[in-house]
Amino acid sequence: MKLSDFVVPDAILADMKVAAKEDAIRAMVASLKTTGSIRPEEEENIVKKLMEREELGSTGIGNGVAVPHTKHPSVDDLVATVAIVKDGVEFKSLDGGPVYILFLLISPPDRSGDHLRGLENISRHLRNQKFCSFLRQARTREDIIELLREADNNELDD
Amino acid sequence: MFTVSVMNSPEIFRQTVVVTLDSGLHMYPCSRIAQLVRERPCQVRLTLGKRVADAKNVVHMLGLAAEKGTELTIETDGEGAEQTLRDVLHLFEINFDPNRE
Repeated sequence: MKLSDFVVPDAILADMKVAAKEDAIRAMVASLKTTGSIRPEEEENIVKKLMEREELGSTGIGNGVAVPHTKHPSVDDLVATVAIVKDGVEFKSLDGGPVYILFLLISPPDRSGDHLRGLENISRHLRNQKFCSFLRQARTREDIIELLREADNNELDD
Repeated sequence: MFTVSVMNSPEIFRQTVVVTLDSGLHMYPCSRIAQLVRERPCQVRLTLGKRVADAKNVVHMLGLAAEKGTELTIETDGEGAEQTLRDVLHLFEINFDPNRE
């Protein structure tokens, strides 16, 4: 599985300006709605599910990264988007630090294996310091799309 | 439920567990393990085949993509290793259910 299999390029937000966790999640879900990746009537419920998941425990997994995610019956395939918050956003992360890089993932409830592989794929790239560093430096959506392509092709490996 | 055993080295504690979560070892259980062990002075590793993950790091553990039915080995060494292994095993025993902690 590659990032390009589930990250919606046009939904990527290269310079998301938000003040709080819920704002970040709302903006990313709205971006997926704009690209037609989720149905407009499901937007609110998807945000609700994502926030319920955050209440269970923050998906801010440390090192400035968060991966908010949920399973939702309205999607047939994994869909995801990426957002960068230049100034960082408070996310109640595991390490207490702000979040700069967000991957938001929505997967069909009956596809646990795909969900795990999506998380595995994202986490594999997030282990690469170069990938995280370049993501934070990206200025445009095109920069990020190019970076994801390079990551898929293992061009960023040390 | 689980027997903690000392194998190979007197300082390394190991136990094999089977992932019984329907969704596999997804982010929530990985976060619970990391929260539990990140302040402990000992080393904690999860091993799946040839892949080894630092249990203090969620991103590392997600890299295992351990589905339901997968056999994992938990390994601890250093100060407080035996108790830490017991504590991690407890999370698997209760299937990471916050209501059973």
